[in-house]
Amino acid sequence: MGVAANSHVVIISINLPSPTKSGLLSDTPMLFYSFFKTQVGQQVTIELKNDLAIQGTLESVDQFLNFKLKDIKVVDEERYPHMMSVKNCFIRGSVVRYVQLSPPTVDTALLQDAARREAQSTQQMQQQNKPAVAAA
Amino acid sequence: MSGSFFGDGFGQADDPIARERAAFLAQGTSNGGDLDARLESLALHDNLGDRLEEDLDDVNDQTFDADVGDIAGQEFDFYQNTLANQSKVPGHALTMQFPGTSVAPMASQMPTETRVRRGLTLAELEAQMLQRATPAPQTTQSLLKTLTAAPEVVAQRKEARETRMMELSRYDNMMTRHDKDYIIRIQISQLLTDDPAADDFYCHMYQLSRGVRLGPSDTQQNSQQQHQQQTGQHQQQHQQQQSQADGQQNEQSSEQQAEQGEQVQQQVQRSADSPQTGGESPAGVRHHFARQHRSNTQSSMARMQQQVQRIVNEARRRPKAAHVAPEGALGKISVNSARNPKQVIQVARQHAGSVSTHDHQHSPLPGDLGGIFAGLGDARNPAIERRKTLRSIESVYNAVLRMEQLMREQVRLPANADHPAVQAWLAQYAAAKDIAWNEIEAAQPISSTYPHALVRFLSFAKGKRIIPRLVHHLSIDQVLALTTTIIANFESLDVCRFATYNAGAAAAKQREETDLFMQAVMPPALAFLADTSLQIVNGLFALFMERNNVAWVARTKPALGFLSMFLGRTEMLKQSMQYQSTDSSELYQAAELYNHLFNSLCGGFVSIFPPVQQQIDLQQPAMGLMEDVHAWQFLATLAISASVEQQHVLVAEVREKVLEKVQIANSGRVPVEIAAALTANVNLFLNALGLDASQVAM
Repeated sequence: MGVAANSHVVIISINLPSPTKSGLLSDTPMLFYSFFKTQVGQQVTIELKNDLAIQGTLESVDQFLNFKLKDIKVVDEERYPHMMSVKNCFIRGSVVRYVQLSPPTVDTALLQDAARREAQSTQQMQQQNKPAVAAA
Repeated sequence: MSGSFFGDGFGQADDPIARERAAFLAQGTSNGGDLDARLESLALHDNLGDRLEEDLDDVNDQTFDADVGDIAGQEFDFYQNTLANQSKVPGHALTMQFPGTSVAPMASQMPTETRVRRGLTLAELEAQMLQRATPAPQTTQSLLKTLTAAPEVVAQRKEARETRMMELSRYDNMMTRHDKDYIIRIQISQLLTDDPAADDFYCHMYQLSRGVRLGPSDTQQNSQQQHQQQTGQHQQQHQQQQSQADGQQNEQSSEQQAEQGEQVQQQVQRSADSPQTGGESPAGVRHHFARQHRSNTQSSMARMQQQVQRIVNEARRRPKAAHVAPEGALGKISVNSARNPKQVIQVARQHAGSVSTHDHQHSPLPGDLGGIFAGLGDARNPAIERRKTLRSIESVYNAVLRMEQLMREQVRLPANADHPAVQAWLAQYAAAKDIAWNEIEAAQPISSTYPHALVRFLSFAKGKRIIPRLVHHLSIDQVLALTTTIIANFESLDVCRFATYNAGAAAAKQREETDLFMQAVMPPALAFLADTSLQIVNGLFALFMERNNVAWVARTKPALGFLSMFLGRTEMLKQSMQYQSTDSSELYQAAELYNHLFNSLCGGFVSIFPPVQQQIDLQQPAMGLMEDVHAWQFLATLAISASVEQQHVLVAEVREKVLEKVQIANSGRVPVEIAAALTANVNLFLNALGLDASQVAM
């Protein structure tokens, strides 16, 4: 997972691990869910795959990384006039391209630790499964 | 549309919806005209004919002929302004026959002059006001109208409201309790996890570190559930933040175990307090500000909890696999869930194996050549060396994370020291510590490989960052060994190798690394030094000067820091030792070391200072002028322990510098704070000599 910090924008690129051999569930996706739970109540800008960028307060997130935004404002008003009267919205997780956050709300050291833990646990599961697969 | 989709005449239906529909259709046909025509007339004609005055036609007032600017940002409640609702207002729709409505007989007698727009009930008013920060002009008008309405109008509004509520709740309780439980069970089973503490690590630790705690009043209002949200029930859209509830309950439910099963239980409890009906009416939604009904919910809460418990146990017993290969099938079927999403990029997972084989391939080679190149390590191949160092940093990180996790679990251990769990814990802790310790190789300060493993370790920023966390777990001896190793290899540290101070991106990075070193690596070492005996300090001091070229190294901040600490500690110990029986050999040695230091620095004191930037950026003069704080501090500590001749020498050498600084401070070219800071810096040194900046003759 890569985290890069700009002056006022942090962009996270998603790089999911490959499926484990024996197929036990790994939980790196839950790291994102856990991360976004801490972002609830913060101003975020969500850029969708159809190039629409919506700025708003993050109201809630679920395990599929669907987002609910409150008090939204479309970043480029003139191109998307149909959203003018909309205050809240629900965004399906699969259409999100980027989520722009503010750096002070992110604890990068803790995030690195959490990512290391996930990687550790995935590795452990793999090692457990290798002998099982070999035996099977 | 006059018949049902699957044809007419199934006889009496058994569910309420079909019954109602049949009743409605029967009603419709009896009133004449088929449904199409009736709906059409409803839509196109307001049945008022010519009786509607121009000024009473205000359905479109808000939007008709308005600009974008007028419309944007406003909220329109078209429900209230629909013809159907306006028909309930007295004065309208005298002959309106909307099926199902009972038009109040009084309404037909009400003259049109007292026509009032359908007013807002108190609860709806509250809802509206809370939704909008700035009320539109219409709201204030209707507010006034509501508040000053005549009693008959009030009664009529009440009646209208009740009929509407009755209609809307006609279709409540469609789902039985069993249905609801079934669906909830399915949704919860998706959520559950084997190891909730690991899954929610980031969120949990983040909230702990930020000290997020909310009172009970907030949690009572949180009725949103995770699984309800998954079904996207929009009726609860404007309710409170669910995830904060999630996180808070995480905190509150149990500090020991952030069990998501329990978490869901808590949420289930709280949602059981709110109206649980699947077909929640808008009126019910509008009342969500009022206290939730708790009457029947005790039993449902208990039921919910039992369910969740049952699901948690089942899920634990039978972990779901991501791939399913049924008997006789020729392949695997992937079961996609939230935890096992469809991969957009398939990465072949062989890295873990490949790097280790890589290592094995290369390490026999030096040995094959008879150990000639053993001392070089992998210097021949810097890429491999770099990767090896990074891997060792990662293994130290893993070990430290394990240790920290063990520390967190320590609270839960039984008090009895002989308990096998305690032994196991101790064994794990020691094992993790050993791994980390071996990786940094601090036990051998002087190693055969150049650069030393620890130096390579510290050449990365993340290596520097892990040191203070690791030191937290080390014993005093280990910290001593670590400090010794750092000092012994000081010259080769990357922060000491930065030769130039020139501006540019490279220099910025150098400064960053140096700062990081000063912040992360130095404090543990310095803290250790501040607490040890003179013997150790002398020993380390001697080692420092022996192994490193002091004159060259003294230009760097870390070296100045160390030297200042040595001298300062020595001085403190000397003063405290005056009252005790001292070992004069140590004092003698300290004096010797001091003289040695002085002599080696003699003639080069000016070079300690960072080169002054030629163009002092007046917007940020502080940066350029503050760089030499360390130098002044070092000179001050040096001066404290100096003899008179040594002081003379010192002053002679740095007088130029002092004069220059004082001149800048007094010239008025820089702002007052900067000037004050400059003077303070110079005074650090001058006060140690017994002088002051104000005494300097200009």
